[in-house]
Amino acid sequence: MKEYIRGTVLLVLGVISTVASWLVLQTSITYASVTGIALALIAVVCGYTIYVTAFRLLFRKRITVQLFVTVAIAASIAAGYYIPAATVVVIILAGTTLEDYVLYRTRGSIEKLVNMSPKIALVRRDGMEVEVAVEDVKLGETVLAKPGDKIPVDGIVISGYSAVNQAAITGESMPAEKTKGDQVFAGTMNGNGALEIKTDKIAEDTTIAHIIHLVEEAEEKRAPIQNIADRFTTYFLPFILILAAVVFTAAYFLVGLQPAITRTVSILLVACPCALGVAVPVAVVGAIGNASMNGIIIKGGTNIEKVKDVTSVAIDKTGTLTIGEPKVVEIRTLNNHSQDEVVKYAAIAEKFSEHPISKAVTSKATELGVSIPDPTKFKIVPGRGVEAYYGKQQILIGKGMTDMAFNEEEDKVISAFESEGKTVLPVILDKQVIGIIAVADTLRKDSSEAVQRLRRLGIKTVMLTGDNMRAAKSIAGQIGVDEFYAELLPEQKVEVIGKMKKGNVVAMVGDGVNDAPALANADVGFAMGAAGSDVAIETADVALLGDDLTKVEYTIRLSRKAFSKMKMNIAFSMAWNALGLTLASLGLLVPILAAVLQEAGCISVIINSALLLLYK
Amino acid sequence: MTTEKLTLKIAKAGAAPCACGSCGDSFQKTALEHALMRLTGISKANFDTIGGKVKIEYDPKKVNQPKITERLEKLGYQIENIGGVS
Repeated sequence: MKEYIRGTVLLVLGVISTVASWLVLQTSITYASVTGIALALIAVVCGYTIYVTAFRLLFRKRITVQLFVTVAIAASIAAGYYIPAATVVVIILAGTTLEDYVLYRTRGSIEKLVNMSPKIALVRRDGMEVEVAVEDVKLGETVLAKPGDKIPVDGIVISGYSAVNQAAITGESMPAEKTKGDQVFAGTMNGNGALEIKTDKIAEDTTIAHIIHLVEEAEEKRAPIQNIADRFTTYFLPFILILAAVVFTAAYFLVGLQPAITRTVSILLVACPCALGVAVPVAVVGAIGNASMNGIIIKGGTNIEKVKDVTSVAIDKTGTLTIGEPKVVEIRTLNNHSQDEVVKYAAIAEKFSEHPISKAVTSKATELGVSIPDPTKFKIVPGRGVEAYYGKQQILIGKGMTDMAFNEEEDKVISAFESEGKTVLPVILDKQVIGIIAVADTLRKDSSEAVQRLRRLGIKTVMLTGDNMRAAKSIAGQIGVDEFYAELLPEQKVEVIGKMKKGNVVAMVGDGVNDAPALANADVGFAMGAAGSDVAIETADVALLGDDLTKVEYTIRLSRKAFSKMKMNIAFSMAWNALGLTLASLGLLVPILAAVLQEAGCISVIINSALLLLYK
Repeated sequence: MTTEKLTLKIAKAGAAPCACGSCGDSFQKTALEHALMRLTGISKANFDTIGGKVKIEYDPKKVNQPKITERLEKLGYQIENIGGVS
């Protein structure tokens, strides 16, 4: 049974009997005092879990707050304070029930992920469509996702077209278009099209299943600041015992037995180490839970503390700042030829080449609705370009394919494109330049925004790339990074990170596969677009499941917030305890108020931490 | 459906026991029980935080002991001994 439900039942019973006992004692019915006392004792019995826990832990040589409460209650009853004892029990029950409820809700972010996991799948078996539990879908089986269905498995689309909302995994609400050959993930929502999917992971191994496991593990990993809280609690309880003994003795001789008992009981009730013990773990869970709902996996409390200190962010260019696929960005027509003509001849020549640049040209043709006939023959000259024939017409693509000199106009276009860092493809038809195509890797639409946000947090941004100096300079300028390093080999990226680390806390953002060494060498490694790659998710300190670079800044802000809450809670707890203990020692705090103060302190820090779940 | 029962005695490796034993422990208790019950084939999990014992009921056809202990270890708990299989 959920802890807070049992707590609520006991609490209601406790409140009823306490109120009843008080009412009965006001009347003059026969045996009123006996009945009243009996009712008050029922309320005290409702707190049985406190006493049981106290004795079980005492048995294991652990002194706990429950033991203090038990002693305090016993002392109150012995001294004849029945209703106050009942009231204290009710207050403590109310407090812990509320705490249990908040704690349960804090764990709720995982429940959300779990509820997003699909339960059943529609599988094609022997020509029939059968509904089976997702655990029973085998590798390679064809699964159908009807419009509006949750996609039940991780796999590759084999037919159909649809826009899929992948928010469950990536935290991005813009649907992604999926068609033949694209990867889809279990737990994402299919849009208006039907998809046939070939299963490539069994239910236990799907991305969402991994995410759930990683979040569970991350939430259990302590933040180093917890050690401070723990050290404090170790000395706290023995200190309270000594304090209680000293106050009892002093008060006994100064003001007498009754006030001495009251003060001691108040001290025992007001002491509240749980605010320290639980506030930090709750903040860790709150922050990790918040991140997981935004498509970010932070691997444990340690990383929250590391991320908050980041002073520089190194970002890989290709695939991180850019989409990672070259695209035709500009077409300049020459000598009275049309754009369609230029694209058509270029596409004919590039049709059978697998080079990313050739693909950029042919997909531009498809986009423009230009049909691409097959070339009569074609030859790829590696590093230079393509030579092809269409009927008797000769098509040459690429600067290095011809000895002829470009005229002044052509030269101007070429050098303008090149200074912008674009790859230039002159299209030459029968020795005449009919146009010049510029191909470039395009920036992600939010790259510049992401970099600007980091700079606003006072973080230095650095771009790393293997590209040539000119292309790097052009992109660095467009995005507005503080520094850039070009023409880097993967191992040189590691060196750059090493240099950056002198005096700085460095985060590296990359795809997590090609950049794995640089990610590992940085203080914090962010893997972006990690949803499809288990390796990237496993090895990164922070995995961004989608392609949204602005999440780096969000993670840093969230971590800073979480850490400041942890510090705030610890400071508040210490001050609250100091205040409560002082008042109790001086006899200014009645036991009932002591219990209220204790629970209020505990609940405020827990709620303060749990509010991280709502941080934006 | 057949079920087997398993009791594991664990030492908390990741988290130190909360001094007050109430709120912090129930936070841990829920986390561990839920994490275990999300494994396919586990029908019941009960974590006694005071005694450090986890009682599990599971379907041996769907999940096995090594898988359960692996999950516990990944969650940061050290297993002291395994007993009470019935």
